[in-house]
Amino acid sequence: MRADLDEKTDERLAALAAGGDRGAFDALVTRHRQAVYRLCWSAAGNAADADDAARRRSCGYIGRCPRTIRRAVRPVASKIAWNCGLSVRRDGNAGVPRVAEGDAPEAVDPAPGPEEAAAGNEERRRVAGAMAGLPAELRM
Amino acid sequence: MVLRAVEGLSYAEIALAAGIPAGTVMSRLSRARTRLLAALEGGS
Repeated sequence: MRADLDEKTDERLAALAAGGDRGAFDALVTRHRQAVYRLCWSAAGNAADADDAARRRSCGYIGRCPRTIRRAVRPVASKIAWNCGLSVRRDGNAGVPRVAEGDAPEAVDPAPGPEEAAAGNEERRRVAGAMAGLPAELRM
Repeated sequence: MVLRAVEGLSYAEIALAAGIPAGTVMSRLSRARTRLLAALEGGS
């Protein structure tokens, strides 16, 4: 990726991408990839479908709505990611290539000790279960 | 909940993303928090 793009704002990158700058588009997608992935995961319900949703979004949806991106990059990207996740959950993922295993996002937390990990995992499961019980309109 | 608690978006940003009024965002968040709390307390 071009180093000069790192310092540009989202809005500037979106404007460049809208003008056909593929590097700016890639920088924008890379910058928000983690957030988009998390949202796709939440909407799709599992990691594999989240990968598909994130890939679909980065491959085409953003490129088709540059004016919207210029106005508000992150909220719109979030909506697109959410809708992609729901779409993958509803329609399945036929024909969409999987993201390579080595391309998976990095873990957020450093590895804790065994007891700490067990307690944390249990808490995460409880929260995830409670979140899964919410209707989609509240979970988003 | 995801957009607010995980992504840190403002009410206005969530309203834009979801295509709903900011007041609806606030009421939905309130309902979501209430239901989450009930689910977590009920499950412990």
